[in-house]
Amino acid sequence: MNLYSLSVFIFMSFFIISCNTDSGEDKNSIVITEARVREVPGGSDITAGYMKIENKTPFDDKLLNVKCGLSQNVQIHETYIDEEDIAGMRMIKSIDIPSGEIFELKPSGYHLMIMGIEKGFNEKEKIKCELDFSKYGKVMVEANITGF
Amino acid sequence: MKKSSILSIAFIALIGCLVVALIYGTKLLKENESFNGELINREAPVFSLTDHNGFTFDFGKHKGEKIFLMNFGYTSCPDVCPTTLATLRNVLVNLGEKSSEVEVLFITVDPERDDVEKLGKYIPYFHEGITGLTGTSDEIESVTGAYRIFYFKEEEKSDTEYLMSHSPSVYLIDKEGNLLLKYPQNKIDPELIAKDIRKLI
Repeated sequence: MNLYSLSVFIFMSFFIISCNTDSGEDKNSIVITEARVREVPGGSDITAGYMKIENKTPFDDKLLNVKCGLSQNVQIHETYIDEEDIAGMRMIKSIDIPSGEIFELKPSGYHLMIMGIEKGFNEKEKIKCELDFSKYGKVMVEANITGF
Repeated sequence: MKKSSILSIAFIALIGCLVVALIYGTKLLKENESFNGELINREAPVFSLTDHNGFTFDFGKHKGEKIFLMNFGYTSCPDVCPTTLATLRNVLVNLGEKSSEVEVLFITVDPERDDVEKLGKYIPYFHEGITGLTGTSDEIESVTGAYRIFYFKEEEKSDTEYLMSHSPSVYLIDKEGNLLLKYPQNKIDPELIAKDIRKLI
């Protein structure tokens, strides 16, 4: 084996190792973690969903739409509290997620407002949600249904 | 060692102990006087509303019986209101047996949608020590006015689909019937509130 073949061999070995350790859904993708939806209190048919969205792709992207199982409509909302101690919510058309950044949907901040929830929701452990990004396309996620 | 030297040392040690006790005592006293909530301290206005079981709740009759924690919100709010209710439930859990001396009042700012039936299903989900209160629009306006609570309806999509904006704070009324403390959103923490209540029980 000459020096050239050896270099190619070593390079290929590293390439294979790196592919194995950081392959598939993680690299160059949009990664969703800590996805959870709160169970629905009695008498209500709405709840909130939270998660972390990490944009590992090389391009800036935008979350445009969300759909979740056992519900009729999902909107992206922001809770704001102003200087005069007023809390309100406003609907957000899309969320910009620049390349390499993590955006967190969390209580009293940006969240998913899940409406028209159907019967049997609280009996499930997880609910499937589909997130639609402007460039990356659709990402499916299973969100845990949690108590308060 | 002379007897007088021993006496001097004993005297100095005694003075030292007194100083330490004084410093420590003052610190304890200060801790007892200060609260985690913001001090308001004015007489709590009385009102009469309907509770989540359909009974009249005359606050004038209950004032002074217990410590009251009061919050204004609405049930079609998915984020802030249930988070606050869950926190107030955690205050009651944190207080254990002493929670019998505390009652949480959740007053709706959305009486059009939050009727007795809706509150009757929603409130017990959180804790049996929470009372949901509703009334006519005029009654709600009167109580929110008295407590200086702001609320308004956001842009309406339909008669049944709209968002409300409102003061998210929690208020504490002590056993003397004083509106004593206010917890703004960043201080609505079960441990901070429970700590204040323990000082007042």
